[in-house]
Amino acid sequence: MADQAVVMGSFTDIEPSVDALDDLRALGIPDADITVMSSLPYSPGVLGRPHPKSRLPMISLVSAVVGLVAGLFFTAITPYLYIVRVGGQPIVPVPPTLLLLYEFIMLLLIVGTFGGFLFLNHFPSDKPQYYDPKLSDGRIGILVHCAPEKVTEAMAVFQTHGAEDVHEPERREL
Amino acid sequence: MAEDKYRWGMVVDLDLCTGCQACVVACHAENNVPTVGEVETARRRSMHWIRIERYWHGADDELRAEFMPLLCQHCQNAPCEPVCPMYATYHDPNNQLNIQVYNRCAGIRYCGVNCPYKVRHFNWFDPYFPEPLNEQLNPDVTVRRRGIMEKCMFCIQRIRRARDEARARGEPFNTEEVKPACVQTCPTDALVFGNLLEPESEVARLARSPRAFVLLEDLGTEPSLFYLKRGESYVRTG
Amino acid sequence: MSVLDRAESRPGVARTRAEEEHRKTLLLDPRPQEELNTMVLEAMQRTGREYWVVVGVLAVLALGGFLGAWLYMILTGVGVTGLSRPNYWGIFIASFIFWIGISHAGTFISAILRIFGAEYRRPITRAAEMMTTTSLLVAASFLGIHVGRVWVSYWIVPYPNQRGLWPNYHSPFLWDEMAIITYLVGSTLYLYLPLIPDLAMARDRLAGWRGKLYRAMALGWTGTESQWHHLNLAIKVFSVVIIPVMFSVHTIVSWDLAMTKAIGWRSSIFAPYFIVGAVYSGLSAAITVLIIARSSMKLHYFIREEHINALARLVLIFSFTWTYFFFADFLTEWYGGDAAGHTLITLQTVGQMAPFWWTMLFFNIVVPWLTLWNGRIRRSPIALLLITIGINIGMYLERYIIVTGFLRRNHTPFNWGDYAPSVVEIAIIGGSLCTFLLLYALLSRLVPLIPVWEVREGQLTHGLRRVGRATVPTVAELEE
Repeated sequence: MADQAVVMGSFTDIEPSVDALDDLRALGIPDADITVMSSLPYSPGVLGRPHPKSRLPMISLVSAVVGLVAGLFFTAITPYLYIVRVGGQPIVPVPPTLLLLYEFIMLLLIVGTFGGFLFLNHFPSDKPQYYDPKLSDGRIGILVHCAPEKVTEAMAVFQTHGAEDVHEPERREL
Repeated sequence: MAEDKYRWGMVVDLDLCTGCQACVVACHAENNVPTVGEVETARRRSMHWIRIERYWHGADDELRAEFMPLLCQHCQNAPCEPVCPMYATYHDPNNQLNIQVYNRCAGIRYCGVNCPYKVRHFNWFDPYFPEPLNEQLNPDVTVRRRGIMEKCMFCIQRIRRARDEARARGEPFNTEEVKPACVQTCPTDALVFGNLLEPESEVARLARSPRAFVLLEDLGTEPSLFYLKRGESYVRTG
Repeated sequence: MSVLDRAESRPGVARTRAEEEHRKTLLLDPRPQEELNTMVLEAMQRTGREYWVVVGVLAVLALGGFLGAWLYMILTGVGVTGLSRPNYWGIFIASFIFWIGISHAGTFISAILRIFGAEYRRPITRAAEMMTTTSLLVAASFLGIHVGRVWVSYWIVPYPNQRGLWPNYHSPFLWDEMAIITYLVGSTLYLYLPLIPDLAMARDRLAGWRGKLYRAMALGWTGTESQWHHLNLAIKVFSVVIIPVMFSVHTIVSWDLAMTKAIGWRSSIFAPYFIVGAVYSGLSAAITVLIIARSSMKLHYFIREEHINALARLVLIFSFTWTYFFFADFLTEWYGGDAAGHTLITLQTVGQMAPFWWTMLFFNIVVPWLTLWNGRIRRSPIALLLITIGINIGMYLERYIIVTGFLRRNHTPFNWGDYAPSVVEIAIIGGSLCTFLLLYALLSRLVPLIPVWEVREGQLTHGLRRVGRATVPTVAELEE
């Protein structure tokens, strides 16, 4: 992407930004080269963008399985490492073990989901990013990576739809 | 050692108990149980591993005191054991005793809550042995610090010593030799101690007596402590 | 906004009270996001002299009462409490259960209302979630306060150690530990996830130490589509997972008692009874905190009387449910209980616990039932402040009666004994309340108390629509 130019336009309203997205696509810029940034969770359906696939559910599932395995280790294996008998109960009592397995699954599921969220978003990151602090005031930013010759066209698209601000951004410290 | 299996038990003959408290004193001396003083005792914090419970019977003109020595019942299904998160109390499978491991105890007092006989005692403060009691501490038994649960263990130090000495002499271990401090001291022989797994031991014979009962049997704790019912007769019918 | 304007401009249509209420709960009078941001950030930085005086007093009380008295107890022994032989557990366990109960509000308001799409939740979720995390910290500390040797209490954690000993998974205490750790981790992360966009907002607008803090805490959030996508997914997973975890926490806390052989505790109804009680006291505490936060932080735009009204209705419902469980538990013991159980009932209804018992019934049943059916009272912050504080006094007494009352009588009458908390215990209890308030007061000035983006999202999707002669609000989520 080193030889590519970057253009960012920001809008106050959602309607013109979606129209601008359509026109950018008409220019031949693929969806993958466009990033929409906003302070609200506009869904892909709202933006008319392809539905992204996320590995997060899979990560959650895997961590739940890890939780099950860890739970089995702690509740069903560690009692045999040092056998201590307690009155009237087997060394591994089944009902309490089920209860503990449940807690272990939930704990690892929670931690794993959070870890997956951090991992998939490359958080925490203090690298410079394309960003505009005005975005958190409700602006919708559209970031386009394109060939340098398309920069003017893209800027024109933004301007036609009444973008508040169009420029070629630099990565900056957040 | 497969043959190294015992189920230590005790029989308390309620007819013979006079409530003299000699067993209580003996236990304090043998097991380094601290005395807590009048104030703490009045606050129900007395620490007698064996205590004489006194119940009043009859109307005012014919008032009668009945005594019941209560100590750890060494339940086979002990309610105190599973609830301890640290395994500080557990079931000793060789001696069928309910053992308290002081070092593991964090003082959650869950066992004390769950013990239906309330025979577990908590060290509310660091133990204090006034002169001259500090001169007679038993070196075989640890002194427990504050924040720890403790209770009767049938003088396990005596059981171990008797067994080890018999083994050192190369003789079979005669379980009748072992006597916890309270049993040894009882002037009326109201307390009988022994191995319940030997059918002909005195304790096993008495436990089979028709007078025998266990405390709070309906809770299913299977105590190793049997009481001989108080009756008209003063003759042992075992 | 345009939908709103259209409804607004229709002449000659008088709004009914219900409409008015809907408009207010859903915050259908939107303002630009910039203004919302400013309002929230100003509220967060509102640290006047009064605030510091309150924080200072709380800090002194928390240090003295909570840490000071606790340290004194550690150094001398648990004997400084009023505990004794039958009463091995006392007011510390009661407080532990109480604070765990308070922690249920956040999850209930945030996760359950989120899943069921109750839209009025939006501005109040964060305030409730913060309560969950803070009160859980206080609750967990009570386990440490309770034990005799707190310096070895880490042995409860399963880790390979030189003793070769693993913890005893038979013990309900260990289930409790697992459940509390899971809930604490879960609720803290669940508080943090929806906070990230708001922290990014604060980062963009604040400099100085706050700027640095929020830069670190916002993790590098820029609000791209994929970030939002992952955030939404993660929040969904969390809100589904945290609900059963919440239920398990108080279930297991009740099982700490119900697994024992103590008379009156061994009851299969305890788990749902405790959960209902927890949500009841948690929701009441949420109302108390919301009313205080709203007036001290000037959040009248976000937290309105209608929100409090909606929560107060829930409180009334939970008051009914709690009464149902309480009665079911009481009746069983009264009718079928043995002699020992009857001594407990006598102890509570006419004996030494009677003042507590009747006060509990007064605050938990009489007051809410007589007042909360009335819409005017439900909308009055002052009245609700008093009622909800009363409910929590009642719920505290409930835990006090259950934990300390039932232990006084047992199977062997020789070992019956009474209990009254000592000065040290009362100092610790008071200190714990101050600690909770202090943590909450500090946290409320450190993180945005209102989830701005969630409120904005709601305002964007909710609208008003004419149906016949009425204007009704329409509700949607930004799905699809």
